[in-house]
Amino acid sequence: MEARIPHPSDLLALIVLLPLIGAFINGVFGRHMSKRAVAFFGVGSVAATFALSVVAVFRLSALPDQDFLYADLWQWFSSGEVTIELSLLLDHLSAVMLLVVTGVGGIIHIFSLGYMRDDPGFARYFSYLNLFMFSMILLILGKNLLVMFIGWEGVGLCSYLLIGFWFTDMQKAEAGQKAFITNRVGDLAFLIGTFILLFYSWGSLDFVGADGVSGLQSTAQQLANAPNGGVVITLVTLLFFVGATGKSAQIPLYVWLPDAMAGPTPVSALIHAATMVTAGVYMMARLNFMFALSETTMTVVAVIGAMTAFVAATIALVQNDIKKVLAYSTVSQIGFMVVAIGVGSFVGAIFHLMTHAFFKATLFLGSGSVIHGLHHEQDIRKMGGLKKKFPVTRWTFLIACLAIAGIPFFAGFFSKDEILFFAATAHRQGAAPLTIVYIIAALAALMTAFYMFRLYFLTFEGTYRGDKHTWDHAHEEWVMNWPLITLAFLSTVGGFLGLPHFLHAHVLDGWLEPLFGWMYSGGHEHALYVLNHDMGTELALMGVSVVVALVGVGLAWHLYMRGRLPVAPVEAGWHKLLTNKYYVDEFYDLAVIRPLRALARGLYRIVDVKIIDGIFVRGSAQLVSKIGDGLRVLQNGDVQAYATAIVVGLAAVLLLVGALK
Amino acid sequence: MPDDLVLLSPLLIVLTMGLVALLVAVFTPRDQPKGWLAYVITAGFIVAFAACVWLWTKAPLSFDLPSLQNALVLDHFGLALSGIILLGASLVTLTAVDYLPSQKSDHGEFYALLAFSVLGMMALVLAGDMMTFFVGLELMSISIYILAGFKRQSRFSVEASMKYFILGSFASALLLLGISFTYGATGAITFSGIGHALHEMADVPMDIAQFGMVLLLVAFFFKIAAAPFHMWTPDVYEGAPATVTGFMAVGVKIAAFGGFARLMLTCFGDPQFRTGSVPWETIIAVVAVLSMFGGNLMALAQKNLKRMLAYSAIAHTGYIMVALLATPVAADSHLALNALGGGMIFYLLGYTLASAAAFGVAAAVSGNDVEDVSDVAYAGLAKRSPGVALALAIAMLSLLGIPLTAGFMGKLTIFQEVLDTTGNEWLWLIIVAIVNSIISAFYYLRVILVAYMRDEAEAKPIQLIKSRSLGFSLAVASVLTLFVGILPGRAMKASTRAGRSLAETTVPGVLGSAAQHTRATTPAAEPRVAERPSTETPAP
Repeated sequence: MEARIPHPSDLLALIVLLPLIGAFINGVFGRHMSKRAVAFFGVGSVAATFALSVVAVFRLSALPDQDFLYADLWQWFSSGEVTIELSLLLDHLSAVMLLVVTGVGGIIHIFSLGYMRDDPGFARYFSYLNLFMFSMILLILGKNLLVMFIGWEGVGLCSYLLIGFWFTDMQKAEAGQKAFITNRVGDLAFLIGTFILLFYSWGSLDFVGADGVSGLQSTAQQLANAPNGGVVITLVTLLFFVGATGKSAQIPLYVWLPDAMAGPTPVSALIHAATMVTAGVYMMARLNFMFALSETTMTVVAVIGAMTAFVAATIALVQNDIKKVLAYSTVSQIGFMVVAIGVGSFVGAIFHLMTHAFFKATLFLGSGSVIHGLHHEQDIRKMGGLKKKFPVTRWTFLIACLAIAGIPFFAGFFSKDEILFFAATAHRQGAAPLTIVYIIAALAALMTAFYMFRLYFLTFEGTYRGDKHTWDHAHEEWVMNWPLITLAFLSTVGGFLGLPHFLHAHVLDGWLEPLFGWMYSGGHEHALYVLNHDMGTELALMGVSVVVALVGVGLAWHLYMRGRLPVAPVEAGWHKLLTNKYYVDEFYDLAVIRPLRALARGLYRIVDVKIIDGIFVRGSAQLVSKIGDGLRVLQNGDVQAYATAIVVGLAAVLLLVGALK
Repeated sequence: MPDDLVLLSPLLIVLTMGLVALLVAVFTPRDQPKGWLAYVITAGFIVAFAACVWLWTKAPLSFDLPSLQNALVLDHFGLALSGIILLGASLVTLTAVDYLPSQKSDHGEFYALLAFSVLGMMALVLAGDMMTFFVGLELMSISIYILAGFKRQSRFSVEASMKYFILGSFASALLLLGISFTYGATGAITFSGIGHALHEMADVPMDIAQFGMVLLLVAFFFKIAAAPFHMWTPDVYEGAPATVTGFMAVGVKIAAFGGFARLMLTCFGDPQFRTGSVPWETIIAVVAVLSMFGGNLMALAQKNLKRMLAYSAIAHTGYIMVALLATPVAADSHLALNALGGGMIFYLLGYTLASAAAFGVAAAVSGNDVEDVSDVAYAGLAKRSPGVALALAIAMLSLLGIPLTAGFMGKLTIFQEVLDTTGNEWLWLIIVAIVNSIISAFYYLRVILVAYMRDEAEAKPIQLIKSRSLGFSLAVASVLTLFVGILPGRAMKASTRAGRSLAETTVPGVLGSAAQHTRATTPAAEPRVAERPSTETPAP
């Protein structure tokens, strides 16, 4: 392992702190400030953070490839062998994430200015949003697992606050709780994994140590060489993967994300498309040196990812709520990223994470523009023909649809293709490629193209199906259009960072090489993952992808533009199953929530009321107070008695000394 | 090397402040408010604190004071404890500004006595020979005897003062006797001289030395209020004015623990005394168990806040005594970081902050000469004054040892360090301490319950003192409690460094051999996966 040289940089601390300061100002003083001032601190802090992030990344890019920037803020505590420092790390991986999150996040902040303008909770909203940015940046820049976990919990908390932002609506408040509790399950696994690692890593949870060599990376290597170390690695990585399924909404913990659409739409764009839900993917990429070592985990990851991509895509086929379609699409797209991790294409995962942030943010904000313009109408059965009223939104939405569907030269085409290419051809040393994963993922891609264009056609094309009053007042606003245009531009060109391998111009691949390159180095005999950069194969697979995308789009056009399918079909058979999301929520209710409630009730009645309250609490309290009353007799307020006690005590100590002698 | 006078500056500043306060008190008319003196004294404490910090940064390990024949040892240990004493004293002084007038006891001598007492405490923790030790102890004690009876018109206050004085004199007699026996056995009066003599064991009558040690220990137990030498505590804590009680809780305890820890480790640090034929460690363990159980069980039955805190103070004495069992290791390994001081000093810091806040609240609800701080005095406090109630709640949670408070980190550190440095020898004692912490939850949480859940008694409304300085003191104590609990890193580093300085400035060889003795009996850590990668950070 090459030594990576750390360079201190105080810039990182500032990048983390600015949004926190913004959150503090708006949270404490926001109620008494004008909206203009709130907007200044709320948006300004994130914009400044983005600018500083760009500076920091430039500074990083000037260094040799292996090196990284860091900032040790302070030692949190040191206890025995365990030393926990609050420190930050900016290397090539966190740099990509940082730019995406602060950039897209900043754009969404601007969009929110228009969307939330008339909301009475304007200051509260921006305070939460900034707090979210702070947590997310902490998650990204954390130099060790614990700092990452603080951010991880922080974004969980903020998503709870933001999903339930309109908390007077019971349903929305419950959606916030659902997100929080489902995430808890994953968080627990994350924490257990961390504790196991703490035991094996001699108290250091740093991703990379102060000397550039030690840290979790060397722990992973030592474990790999130790007897039974492989089991530990598999166990730990599976636990971390469970953590990721919570945050990144994968099977079985994906159920919170669709409900989480209850929050304001820019929140959905920020949290549930561009940043927080990709945290799980980022965490697995961060721990690549551990995940890649366990074949079992990698296979599980790939299979779960493919299943999620497929299942979520089928549900998205029939949803009628514009945001619900996007929500399931998000779950499905993150499934693609997880597939990428599972088949060893860590670059592909980060690449798709980035392009997805661009086009999904465009889609969410576009839907936000529509919802805002139509007085909070979200049902696509009551839309149609909106291209006349929302020209900018329509064009940007279309571009994003083309990108997500995988039409050539838009961003999503390159990133999705890279993942499919890996799934079809790359394989672990001594194992076959996971072809089944490729097939499932390709089918999911087909459905993606279909449901996205179904959404587009039903919303913007055809004739309007809602009421006239709403139509007359429908409008779009420029404060929301500029963010859309910027993001649509990124969705168009973002893919050129990762051109196909045969062109040898894969910028992202080169940039991330210091982190992920070790998996592929060593040639055909020794590399962990064997790649097949054959131009013919790559072109052929690319052709398949294009056909898949075009078929999907064509099918949607055929069915919905030419009126072959009614907008609201009869709900029966498969359609009913899909509309009800495979009854997974109902199943969880029956299989987990109700038994847990019954158990809790039983425990409360028997263990808590009878045993704990009855015997332990009251019983022991009575016992000790009896003893206390007994001792009280000795304490009679008499000085002579007290002095006698001292003499007796002295005698007792002398006797003790004599006895010990 | 700075001048001797500069080295003594913390002590001299406090002395000057005391004299100034005394003079001003004499020349100010009786009916004029004296509250402003509190600010003067506090300013003096803060300057002295700053001087301690400055000396800390300058100190190599310990300054030699040849001109004083080593009567004082200015090392990190003493400086750290002086700093905590000054911090606690400042917090307590600020609570007195409006409390004393409300008790009709607003006399300037109060602040002078406070300063002299602090001077005595600092002399005690910095003492390097028996004479300084005794003078420091008496200066501290006599000032406090007077302070305890400062509410002259109150029968309780005077009674408390008398009781404390009589029993305290008795303890001082035992102490002097102990000093005489030790001197007789070793012929030395400085701690290091005694330590050398007992280490070399040339012509030392061991029986006499041991008898002296036992007498010194008993005097120590009296001063820190350890069972069964604690009987004075509840009566004195309850009778004395709340501010004075707070001062006793924070000041006397730190000073006594600091002074006696140095005395025991330097003079009797040799393994034959620590763990050998007559081990003082065993005596301490037994007394610790008695104090924990005695204090906690009695506290359960109390309805008066001050009296309850008195018993809880006895229980805390028990927890802190556990820290004395951690083996201070002088050798520069990572175990050295876990030397005694880390646990004891850190715990004392947390305890000081929480006690200052708790007694501050007790003073706050004693407006208009209320004698009785029982439930009705603060029931429903949360509605009347949320800030004061919050300070009380934080103090109780910290005393109980709930995570995110200084009290939790203190307990955790003590338990962990004792286990780390002595293997499983004292595991049973730590289990006893944890059981006791659980018992203490009953009475600490009860206070919060009364303050938050009960309604204010209509017949007897809360008599709250309106005082900015008191509020400020409560706020500082609460914020620091949480700060040290959440970000303990710095405080922990400083206190371990202080503990290490004590281990290194004691008699050479004495503790080192003790360390080797224990380490030989501690089973080596099991090899895990591989060698520990070098993560040693350079010393600051």
